[in-house]
Amino acid sequence: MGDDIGVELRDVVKRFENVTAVDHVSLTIKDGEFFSLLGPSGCGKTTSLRMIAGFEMPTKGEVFIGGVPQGYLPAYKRPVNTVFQHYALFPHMTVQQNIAFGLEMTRVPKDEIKQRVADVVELVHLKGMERRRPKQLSGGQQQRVALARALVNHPKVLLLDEPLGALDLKLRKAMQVELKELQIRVGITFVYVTHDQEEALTMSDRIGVMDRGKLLQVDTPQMVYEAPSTRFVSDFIGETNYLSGHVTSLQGDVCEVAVEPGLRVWAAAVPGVQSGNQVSVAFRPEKVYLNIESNQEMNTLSGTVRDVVYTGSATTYHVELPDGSILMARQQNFETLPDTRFHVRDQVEVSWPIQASKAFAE
Amino acid sequence: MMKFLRRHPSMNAWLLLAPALIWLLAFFVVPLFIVVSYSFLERGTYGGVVGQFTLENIQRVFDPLYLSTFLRSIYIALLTTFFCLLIGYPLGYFIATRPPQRRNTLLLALMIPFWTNFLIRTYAWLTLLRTNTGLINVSLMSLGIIDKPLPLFGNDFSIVLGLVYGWLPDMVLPIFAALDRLDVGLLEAASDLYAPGRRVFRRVIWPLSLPGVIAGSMLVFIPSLGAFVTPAILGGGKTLMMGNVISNQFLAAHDWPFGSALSSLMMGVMLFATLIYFRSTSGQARAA
Amino acid sequence: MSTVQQSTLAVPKETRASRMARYRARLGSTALSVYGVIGYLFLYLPIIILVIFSFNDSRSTAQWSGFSLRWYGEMIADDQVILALWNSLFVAIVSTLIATVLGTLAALGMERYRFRGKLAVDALLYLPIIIPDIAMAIMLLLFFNLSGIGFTPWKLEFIGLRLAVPYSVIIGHAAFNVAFVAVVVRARLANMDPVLEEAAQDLYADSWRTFWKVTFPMMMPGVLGGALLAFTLSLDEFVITFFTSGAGFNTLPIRVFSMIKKGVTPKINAVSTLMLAFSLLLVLVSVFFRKKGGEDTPVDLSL
Repeated sequence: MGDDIGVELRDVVKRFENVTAVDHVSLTIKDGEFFSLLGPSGCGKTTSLRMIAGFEMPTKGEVFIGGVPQGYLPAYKRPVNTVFQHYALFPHMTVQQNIAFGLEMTRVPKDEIKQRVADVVELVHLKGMERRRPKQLSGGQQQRVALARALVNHPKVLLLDEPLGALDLKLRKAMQVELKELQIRVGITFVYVTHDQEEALTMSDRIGVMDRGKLLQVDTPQMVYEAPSTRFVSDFIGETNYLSGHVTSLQGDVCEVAVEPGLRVWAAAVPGVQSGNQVSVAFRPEKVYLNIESNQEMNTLSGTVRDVVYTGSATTYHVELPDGSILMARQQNFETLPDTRFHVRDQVEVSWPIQASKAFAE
Repeated sequence: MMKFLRRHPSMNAWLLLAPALIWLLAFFVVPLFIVVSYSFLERGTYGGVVGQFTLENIQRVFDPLYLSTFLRSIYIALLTTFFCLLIGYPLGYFIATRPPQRRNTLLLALMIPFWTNFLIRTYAWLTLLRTNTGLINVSLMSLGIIDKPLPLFGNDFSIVLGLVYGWLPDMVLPIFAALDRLDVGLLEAASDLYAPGRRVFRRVIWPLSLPGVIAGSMLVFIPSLGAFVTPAILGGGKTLMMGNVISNQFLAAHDWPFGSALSSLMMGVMLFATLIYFRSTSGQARAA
Repeated sequence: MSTVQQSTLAVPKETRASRMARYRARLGSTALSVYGVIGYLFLYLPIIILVIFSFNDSRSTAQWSGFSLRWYGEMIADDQVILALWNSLFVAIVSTLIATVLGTLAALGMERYRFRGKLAVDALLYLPIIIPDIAMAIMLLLFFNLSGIGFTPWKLEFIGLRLAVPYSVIIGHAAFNVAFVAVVVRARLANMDPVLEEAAQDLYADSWRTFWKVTFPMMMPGVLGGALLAFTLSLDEFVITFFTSGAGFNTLPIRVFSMIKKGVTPKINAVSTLMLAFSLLLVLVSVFFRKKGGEDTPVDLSL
């Protein structure tokens, strides 16, 4: 992975009629990076992708590909290729013809086309399917054709718009691994749009989280998960416990929050949070321990187990606090056939590290 | 040039539309304009017109003699629409409730008469209905069921029958399309279990298939109102409709302005019916 | 996390009332089937009888007196009928060509762009379909009379025959067929996923090549369907031809009409059967194209 810039959006705005789909987004994607744009539907991620591809033109700002400003360059003049959501394979062409389409358009010599198509067919494991038509292929195979059709052109950047959305769960998981391996092998910048947080976490080098046209956070999967910059990000990615209250004191980057009269917790304060602010204290269920020896670095509250949810690899306990709010605590099931350690109506102590919880201004 | 077109994509649209629009302008809009303006001119002696403005033609349209023919035509067209609906709705319902493979065969079987020459289909009824030499009367009499030919020909009955036969597919297709969208097969299965079928039909199926009924009724009513071939062949030279009166003005009476006035009136009624249709369908869309 | 206990379906116990309801439903569905059969008999019996009597040995179209091909022989021997047949085919071919080109271009303009005045254009494109043919015939008759163009025949040699086809007839046929082709092609375009065109652009095809490599091949079944419809409508057209052809020019329907006026004979049945066979062939061809084009219904429901 070099330090060269693959794609850059500089203060890009896109308005449709009176809806702002993309709102002042600036973003730099490194060359050779697997970058995901993650967010709920309607957050502007697809519109951003379409502006890179050249299907939409920014209302304001500029898109750079490999350092070159794209301006109003139409899609067919941009060194990028797209894998579309429902593949958009040409139904009247065979697999071979679909894959060769881009090369024919750029007038690559016939022999070379043959060779390159054969190579890419091998790469995506489609050997023997060349003469079939898209309708005769399974969803997964169509997906591979779409990939091959884009990759065969050796684009600077490959744009993928929820390419796995139409596949069933098992196939999706397998394709995630395969896509990631493929990306490492070909070394092309991937810009991947998805609403599936797990998919983004699994595959990406970095993730950009979007909501309502705004880019909220750009970070590695680990940082996005462990150190979300806003409540939306922490809410959208993974499961989160919330306690709301107001800040009573601030010591460095740690603050004390009064959740209820007499119920106080400590949390890492997001920059900007001040004493007296109404905040949400957020922490992940797997960071919560039950009945352990607590220390200075931890918050500890007591509560009652209300529900025990066994999910195979882990068990989640729903613990009710005195004020009625429910916290989730996820415990790995290390032992074989363990008797669940706690039962409904058990009184427990709930503890979690202060550094693992964040206070977001509400 | 290319750059200009990219900036103004609507110019592309106009370029693509231009040939068809120019064609329709020359051979549809201009002729339409001519017919309407002829309605206000005085007739020439041997056909044609004299460039003299008059309202006489318009007044004559409302002469009881012509007005009664016109009202009769509307009556026959309404009757045709009614019977087409009566026969066509259950037929559309029948097709829509068959399994997909059979449904396609039935649709195809419906289309074959639709693509068959209207004149031929009308002629087929002529050979069946004619008073003394038609198949029906000849057969019934030779079997001794009747001893005097039935009055099957040269009256409202034969014309309505011919029109119903001719336009039935136009009624069935939109009704089928509406019922198909509803997936009546499923609704029927549901009604088998719980709700009595009649109530499901009245409360759900009928109201939701209404757009198809209205579209089909329009497709039958308008050409029936302007019918020319059917009354000419099955009317036995006695029963006339609007289309025949209009054609007489051009082919026999050489009164072009009056013929123009009559066809303007017919187009007016047609336009009125179409407007009602669009209003009712857009109302349906809003309700849905 | 809600309880999923109620998912077992309560099977209603069969009561007398529910049994009656089931009988009634079965009776209803039998009645519907009977009705369907009768409906199709109504549609087909007259045509079948017409075909049968084209093989009748006598002059009657009501009393069967034995099988014979004599009326087909008379049909072939009738120069007027043969000439009318070629006239019909020629008019249909030329007007279909005009209508297909103009209608397809118009359909592209309407389906692919947004512009001001679209609603008016839409209305103009639909009017020739809904206006009664008698009204259209009168309009064109007056137009050709006034403008002086059209009635002059186009003299040409066509498959060894000397034809004289009035331009007015070709123009008249193409005038309404443009509208029909436009509707059919538009329906096809509307069903086409615009993402396919984006995919072509993404693969370095400019607008021109996107059109020829993707849009055009994909809309082709619609164009063929529209052309077939136009061809059939032109072959069947009677009223407009009747009023705009002037004296002495016959298409097959015009010829049939004047034969009917002179008197009913099985020869008319024979000509009708020929036309019927031709229509049938056209329907089958159109179904074939629709199937090849990946449409799920054998017939176009867009009209």
